[in-house]
Amino acid sequence: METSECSIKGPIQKECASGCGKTWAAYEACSERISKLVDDEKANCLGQFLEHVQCIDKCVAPKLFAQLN
Amino acid sequence: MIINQLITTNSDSFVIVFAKLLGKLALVGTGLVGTAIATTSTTLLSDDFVQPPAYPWNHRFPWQSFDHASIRRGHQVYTQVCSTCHSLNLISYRHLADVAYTPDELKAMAGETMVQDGPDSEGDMYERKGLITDFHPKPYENANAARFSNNGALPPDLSLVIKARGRHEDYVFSLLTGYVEPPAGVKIVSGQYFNPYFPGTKIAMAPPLSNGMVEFDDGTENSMSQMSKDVSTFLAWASEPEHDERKKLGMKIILGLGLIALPMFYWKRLKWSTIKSRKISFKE
Ligand code: HEC
Repeated sequence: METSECSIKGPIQKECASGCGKTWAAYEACSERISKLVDDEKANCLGQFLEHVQCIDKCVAPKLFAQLN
Repeated sequence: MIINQLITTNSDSFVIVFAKLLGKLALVGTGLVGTAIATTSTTLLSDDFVQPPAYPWNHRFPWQSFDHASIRRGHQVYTQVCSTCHSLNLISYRHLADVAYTPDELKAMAGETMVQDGPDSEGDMYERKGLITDFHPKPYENANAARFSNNGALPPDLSLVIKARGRHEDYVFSLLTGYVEPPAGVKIVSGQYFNPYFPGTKIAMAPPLSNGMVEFDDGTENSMSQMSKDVSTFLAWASEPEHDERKKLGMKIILGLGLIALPMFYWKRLKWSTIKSRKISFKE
């Protein structure tokens, strides 16, 4: 996943991604599906993406603030 | 309905009627409370955004106050970055005295701004140097000017924005650090940016912060997350300047009432002791 450009949040998100394999697999599968729907203007993987972000956030929240003042 | 009830049960004793009514009232009460809970929580019809996680803020618990060093840094982020687009109409420089700055620092800060005042004795408006009693300067004259400069989107006043959004400072922090590339298939037109925390996920505010943007005067490392945390803390203070005082007062009251409860308990036992230990005997 594209992570935040923040020098602290970004790496933590990458670390946390390993715990969210399921939601990421669902997102990947969706990308695969819609890449075949060339004529479909509206097909997208927003829902899968948001679920993945939500999963990663649970892991990010405590770790991120531990590294901030 | 209640009158009906009284008529149909008039063979019962008054006590039974009363008890039945109480039962009905309890039911109605439970219903009311249930409805209140169901209607005051926010129900979102479509979840086209991510609920921000709960971050461990320094001021999250009832016995915790704001981190005032963070408020100071957050004010620096606001004035150096956000104030080019967002107003902060309800906060004057004076409000920050002994919160994040000394009065002298604030006088100097206000003195750097120019304010329109007037009318003077001849009826003309004039410019003067800012005073500590002035409010933060507005970036735009009015909402139309603000819209015109921002692709038609209005940057809201930030004074109460923490209170005006669900999840409060968790939301603003997540929003500021949340910008990413849009996922597969999501189309973004120019002037829009993808942000999974913004309802609808397409926001008209360009990512305002990047690593190293603001130099903090206390030397704190200026990552994007640090600046976002500080500006969110500052805005949380701005939307509730009485926060620390309120919590302190709450503690005092709970402590005071707790202390008073002890002698009251003793006093009650004392007064009732004669009643509770009395014996009634009937003599011929
Ligand atoms: C270049 C101008 C610009 C700058 C700089 C800017 N913003 Fe914004 N901001 C906007 C605009 C425009 C909107 C309205 C976005 C929309 O409605 O799509 C907005 C909206 C917001 C919102 C409300 C989002 C919502 O839920 O409605 C918040 C909170 C916010 N900005 C905070 C900030 C903070 C904090 C900063 C400083 C770090 C900042 N902004 C800097 C232009 C700006």
